[in-house]
Amino acid sequence: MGRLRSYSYLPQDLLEEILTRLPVISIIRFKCVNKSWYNLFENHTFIAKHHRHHSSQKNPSLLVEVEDSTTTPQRSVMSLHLADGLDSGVSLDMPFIPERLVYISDCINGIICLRELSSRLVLWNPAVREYTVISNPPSHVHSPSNVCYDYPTFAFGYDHISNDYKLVQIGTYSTVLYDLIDQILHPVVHIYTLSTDSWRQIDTGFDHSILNFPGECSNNLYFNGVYHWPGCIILDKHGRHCEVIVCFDMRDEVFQIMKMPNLGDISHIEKIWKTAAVLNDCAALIIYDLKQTKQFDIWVMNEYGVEESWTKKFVIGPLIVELTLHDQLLLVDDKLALINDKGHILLYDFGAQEIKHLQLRNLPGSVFVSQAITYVESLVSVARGKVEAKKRG
Amino acid sequence: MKFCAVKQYFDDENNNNITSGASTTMIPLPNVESHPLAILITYCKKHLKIKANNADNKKETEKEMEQYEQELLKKVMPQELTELILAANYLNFKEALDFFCRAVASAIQNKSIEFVRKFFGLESDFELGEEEKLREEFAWSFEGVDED
Repeated sequence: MGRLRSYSYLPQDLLEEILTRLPVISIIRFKCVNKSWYNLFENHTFIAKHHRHHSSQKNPSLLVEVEDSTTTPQRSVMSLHLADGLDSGVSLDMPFIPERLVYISDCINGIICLRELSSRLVLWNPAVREYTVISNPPSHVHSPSNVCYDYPTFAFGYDHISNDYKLVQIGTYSTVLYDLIDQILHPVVHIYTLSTDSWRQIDTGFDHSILNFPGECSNNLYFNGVYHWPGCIILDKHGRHCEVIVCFDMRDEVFQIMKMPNLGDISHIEKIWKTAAVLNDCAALIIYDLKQTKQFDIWVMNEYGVEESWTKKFVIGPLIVELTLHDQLLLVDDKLALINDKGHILLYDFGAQEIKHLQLRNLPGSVFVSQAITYVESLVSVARGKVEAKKRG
Repeated sequence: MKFCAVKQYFDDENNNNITSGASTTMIPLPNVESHPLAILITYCKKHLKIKANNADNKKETEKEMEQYEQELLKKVMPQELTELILAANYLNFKEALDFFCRAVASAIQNKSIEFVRKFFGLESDFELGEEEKLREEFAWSFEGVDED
């Protein structure tokens, strides 16, 4: 057979090729092998390469918030693999009690932003079990009694030039007249930078008498380092308006407007921007027609930034199930995950054109999924606190 | 593109205007043993065949390829994988390199520190007490590790 050289003969770059393919838990353990491996696994270039490799793998994971009325605590957060089809759910240890979880951001480079009931904000990397508390989030300015402060919305993102993580807090104010919202005032926007652990206020640069954008987080899109929300420009006093996409660039920290795809008669408010996602490396919008609840359209922006490149790529349906406004839709690779109001995950496979019920392990009727995000592990450190393993009963 | 190093050789030959009268040209591959080369050639042929059989269906190709890879792994010892990795790297055969690296990663991912050190011929160079501290810090990552 000839000589068999041992692994000590492998050059460093090939050794790294092997090591980037390891899951995070193995890499953490192998930090104990020797100093060279420890340093390698702390190295930014290796960490980025590792995450890039795992992001490109055809084995998508979801992070899901699950509620089980029969257990204590009732809520938990799990990660599961879509490819394993059904029952790979692994419960995760969180930085605080899951009962107090109010908001989960999208996963950026393996990091998730969480908001607690007490308004505490936390950045969490579940794979390496580290978290950091974001200091001093701005609270709203005291306002006159006829001004109402809406629940702030958040946008968590990454600036790839400065290799820094940022969190944007958008607080909207509106004047109230006889218990109804009269006028929406200028939103107050603050941005937090992880490297400096500090907040500063920024200007939206918009005339808010004409632009209406609450920055709702449930249907935003983070793509290419830019956040996208549905917004509305008021065209005239008769209530005519034009739907647009409001963008925030994490790098330049500026807001901009982008045109929506031409959905036909735009003033028809029956067509809603249901959710947005990334499909085959392009920004995609899932548009849902209130009049036809068993189908929806997927529009793709073939060339990012080129408004004319919006194309209606898919029409999904007719589905056996009816979509409701409360359903959460996620695009994961070439599959669509739908979380319905019963808390079940339904998978729609574009290729196979079939709907599959994705069940969690030991799923009795008392369990349901309340939220889900796509998730890829990373080694990125946000250390300032280590998550304690909860006692398993 | 498979076997890019070999293609490069052909390209270079053409550039030098050597008439390839004979249909068999001998290409020297000093860094590749015959056994791993044979495996790589089989892998490559199989990959091309599966791709041709499932021309439009990318998913089927992936599935069949995965099945073939599982079968192949049963016949190859982890120790032989070094030679395969070095050969695939030398020949610039990206798919095979990815596959064999993934195979090694799979083979070691649930193993202990001691196993990994032996496997790669490494020794601990930590200061006294440093390793214990690290093991304690990362204790959670030692759960479910295979017995040696």
